[in-house]
Amino acid sequence: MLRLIDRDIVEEHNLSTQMLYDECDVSDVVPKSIAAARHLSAINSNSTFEAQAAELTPANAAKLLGGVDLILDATDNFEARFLINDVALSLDIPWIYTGALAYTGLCMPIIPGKTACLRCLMEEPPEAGKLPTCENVGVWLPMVQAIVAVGTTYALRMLTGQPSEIALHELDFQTWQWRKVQVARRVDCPACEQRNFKFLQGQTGMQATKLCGRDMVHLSPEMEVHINLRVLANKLAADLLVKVSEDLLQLHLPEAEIYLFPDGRAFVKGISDTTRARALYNRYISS
Amino acid sequence: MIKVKLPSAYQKLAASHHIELNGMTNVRHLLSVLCERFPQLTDELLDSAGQPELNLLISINGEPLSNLQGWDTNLMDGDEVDLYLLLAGG
Ligand SMILES: [Zn+2]
Repeated sequence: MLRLIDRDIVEEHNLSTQMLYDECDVSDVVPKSIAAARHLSAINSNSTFEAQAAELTPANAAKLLGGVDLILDATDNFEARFLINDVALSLDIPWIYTGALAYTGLCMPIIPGKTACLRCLMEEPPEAGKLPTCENVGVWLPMVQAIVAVGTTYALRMLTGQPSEIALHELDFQTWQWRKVQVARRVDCPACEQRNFKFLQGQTGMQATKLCGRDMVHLSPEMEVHINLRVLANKLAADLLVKVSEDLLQLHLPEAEIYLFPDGRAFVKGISDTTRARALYNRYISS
Repeated sequence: MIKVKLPSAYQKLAASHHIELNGMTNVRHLLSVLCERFPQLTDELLDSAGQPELNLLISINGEPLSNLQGWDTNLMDGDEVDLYLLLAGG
């Protein structure tokens, strides 16, 4: 069983770098996890794919990541990775860090109790806004494929019980270098030694994030909620409603579009002001 | 002489794949010399308080600093220093 977790919907600009989606997913506004599960099922109908259209938060992380043999990191930020690190250590599940930016890719498996963990490498996430992101320097698609090949090789070897040399790998397509270093565990690591899982215990408010380079705000509720979208749709003025299904409710407002998921998360498209986005959410959804 | 290999993001800034430096006492000294020689690297290597950036991982002859004496690890002639930059992208 492969459980796919993603908070986003498929957008046109994803199609050039994310190979599992097509133009129909964009026009149908399909959540990425659901689109990915559908396309993978079409390739192999004997395998089970479980789609979770959800944002990984401290409140749901143990549930979403629990009960598996291995966690593969395909995230695009350190906040999520520090949370994955805490959950993986607390549940004793190995995970594989992969990251890519411009022409460089990095990969390292993390096996609880055996190898260094993310906080052995890096005690805290860097200052917000300090690191370059794929939004501002881009990412070279073949590098994504190359570093994913390193990660999946580790994954397949680990799942089939073949021993591997565990190291941090750095591949670079500008210098054609492949470097690696074996990172030892930190004797005073706050996570894997002292078992202080502060990212997992972290409190989350109603998070509002402006998405880079686009007029869009992502909203994520404080508590785990479940909204019956069809019931909500019946309460809303019919002329605002664009579409509703079990997975997604789409509202068309004069100043913005709202895409709402059953877990209470929403994208507000057409504005970049997080306060305004919260206000629209509160007016139409949470009141 | 100390051989230093920079991550590719830095190599572009420093316009060189490998850097060779003389007279380095320890890793902290090496970082300050790199910042002097390539001022455009300062913002990448050090945080706003002047401390080594959190996502900067350094190994000496393949051994990570966490196994040595951290930023105060002494450098000796012939040492090879590798700098890795942990990436958030994906
Ligand atoms: Zn650790």
